[in-house]
Amino acid sequence: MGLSTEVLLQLLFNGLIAGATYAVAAVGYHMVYGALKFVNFAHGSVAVFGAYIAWSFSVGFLHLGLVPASILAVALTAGLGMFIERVAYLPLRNAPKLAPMATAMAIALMLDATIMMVIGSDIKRFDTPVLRGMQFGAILVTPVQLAILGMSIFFLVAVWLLLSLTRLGKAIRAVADNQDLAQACGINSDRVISATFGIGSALAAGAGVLIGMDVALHPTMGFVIMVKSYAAVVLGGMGNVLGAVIGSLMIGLAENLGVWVIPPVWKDAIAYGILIIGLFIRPTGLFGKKEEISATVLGG
Amino acid sequence: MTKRSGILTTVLVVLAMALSAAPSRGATPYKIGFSGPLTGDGAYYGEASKEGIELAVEEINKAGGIKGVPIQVVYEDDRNNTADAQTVLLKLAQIDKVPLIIGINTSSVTMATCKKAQELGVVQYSIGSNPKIGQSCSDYSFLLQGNDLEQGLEFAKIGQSLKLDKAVVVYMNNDYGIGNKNAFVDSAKKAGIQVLAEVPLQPEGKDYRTEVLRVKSLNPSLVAFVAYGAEGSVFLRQAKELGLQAAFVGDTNWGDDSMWKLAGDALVGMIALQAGAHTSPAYQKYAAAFRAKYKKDPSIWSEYFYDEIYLAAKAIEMGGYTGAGIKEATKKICASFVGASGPKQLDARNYVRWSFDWVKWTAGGKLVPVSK
Repeated sequence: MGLSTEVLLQLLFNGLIAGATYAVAAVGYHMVYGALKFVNFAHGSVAVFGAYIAWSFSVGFLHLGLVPASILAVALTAGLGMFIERVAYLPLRNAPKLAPMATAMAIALMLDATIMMVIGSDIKRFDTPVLRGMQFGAILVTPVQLAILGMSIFFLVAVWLLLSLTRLGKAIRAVADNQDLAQACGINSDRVISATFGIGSALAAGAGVLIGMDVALHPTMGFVIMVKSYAAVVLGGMGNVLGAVIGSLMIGLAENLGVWVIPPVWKDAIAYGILIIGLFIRPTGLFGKKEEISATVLGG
Repeated sequence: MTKRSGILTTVLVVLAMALSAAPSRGATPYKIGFSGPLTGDGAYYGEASKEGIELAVEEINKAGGIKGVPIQVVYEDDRNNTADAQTVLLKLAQIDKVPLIIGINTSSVTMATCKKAQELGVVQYSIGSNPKIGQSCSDYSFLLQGNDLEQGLEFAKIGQSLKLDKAVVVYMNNDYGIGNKNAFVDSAKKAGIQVLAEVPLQPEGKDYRTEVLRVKSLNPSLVAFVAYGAEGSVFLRQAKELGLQAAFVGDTNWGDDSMWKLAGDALVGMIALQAGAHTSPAYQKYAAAFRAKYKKDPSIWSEYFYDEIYLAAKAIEMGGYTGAGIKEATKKICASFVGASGPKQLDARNYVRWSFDWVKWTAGGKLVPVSK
């Protein structure tokens, strides 16, 4: 089917919005991976849990506005992430990497089940208005999409500033780089890992809210968020925040453009397709370092 | 009496008293199996089904059950997933030993389980509506909503009535959607409506903007819309955001008040099919009882399952508590049964003959009748 310039621009913009939401989740995922070097299967479920907290505060029970509800949700999910790290991952610090991975799967299932039991398993929406988009040249942009883009940029810039300019950020980078060396230099690595989980979970909650604003919420949508985050991080290159962002944008764009030419049943598989092709061409990912290759798949 | 024999005697006496206090064999409830989506994207339908079922069970048991024996529904969650539904079928048939399973929500689940159900001697009451069910399933499967061929024909009638001659059909990419889509495409050709494209929606999708743009780029005057509430509401909201301007005609899913909660303003202007008989005395009586019990208006899905329980009770009473007996009795009873969801006369392949009202969504979430 022919693709006009107008449609192409709209597809690119839609892909950018999807990619921006994935980027927030992927950066949080990247931080958690950096701290403990295992595939955190619970990351997507933490994102959805955070989004449901925001939904509960804004639509379900307390009827706060979306902004205060989201701030509360991000803060509470940060606490939840630190709690999970304390009770589930800290005792497994010296266990083989498969142990925390299996634990993460169990946590994902528990979080999904908790949402279903407490809130229900039907689709939930934030009270965002359904409005025809505003015309910017050939592109239609809704206020919700603009808000998503703005919030994504805010989250990403905040993380970049934190990692670049603060003592905590430097400690997080040091632990991610070499935990033993960081410990030897006087950094309390357990405390830094706990903080990393808090920040990673806060970003996950932010991504969950953005995805909920963009489309809808469902208790089991965490799995797809997790795999897209994982694909974005590996594609961008382990150990590089900018890589995770660019990987996410590539996946968002490819999904939206791809469905134009291939059946939609392939949409979620596109992320993996790009990942496989990308790694085939450049095994370290776009911005990855050579020493991260062996850690890419199972966090070994 | 030694201490040990004293204890033994006491235990035997207590056991005898407990057994004598247990209900007689005749009071053991008639179990009816339920296989439907209680979690997952289809949970909305499952919960609505359950409300209709519980109301009917309460009414029947309060009136003395089936010749004094109460009925009991064993609920199992199939998530509208064909693999889960097969596990549920085996569990209900072999462990709970039910001769009848109700609640089946989709064509896919019906087709995936009907042959095994027949082998096990279990009757299915389904609202699956794909035309292929009648070909691939036996007369143990009763399709109590209708046949999509009739729904597709009705879509084309609406297009003709509104003089809309360029259509795109947007459909769920599953047995339900494909059956309806094919029926619409056939009927549209006969009615002189040009079908510009067939656009599938992947089940459980959360973003359909590319699909919306595909439809928009074709500039159709009519969009025939065959979608479940969860996925369809995402498409409708994004269609509004992206400025897709065409007349939408929705399937029976969209003739239900509760869709407003999912899609809101994006529904305004849509014409939908409504399959019930909402002005009939049977519906009015049911709706009043539903409102009294649940303090809310009934969903259109509840009435089908409310009727399934009444049908099941009559079939067990007439044919006995066996699959073969229930099957034969259901055929006879359906000939004259008129429930809250309308009459249930069956055609040769066990589909209920369908009749539709046309309704239109207006601002504020009200459905108003459209004259044919």
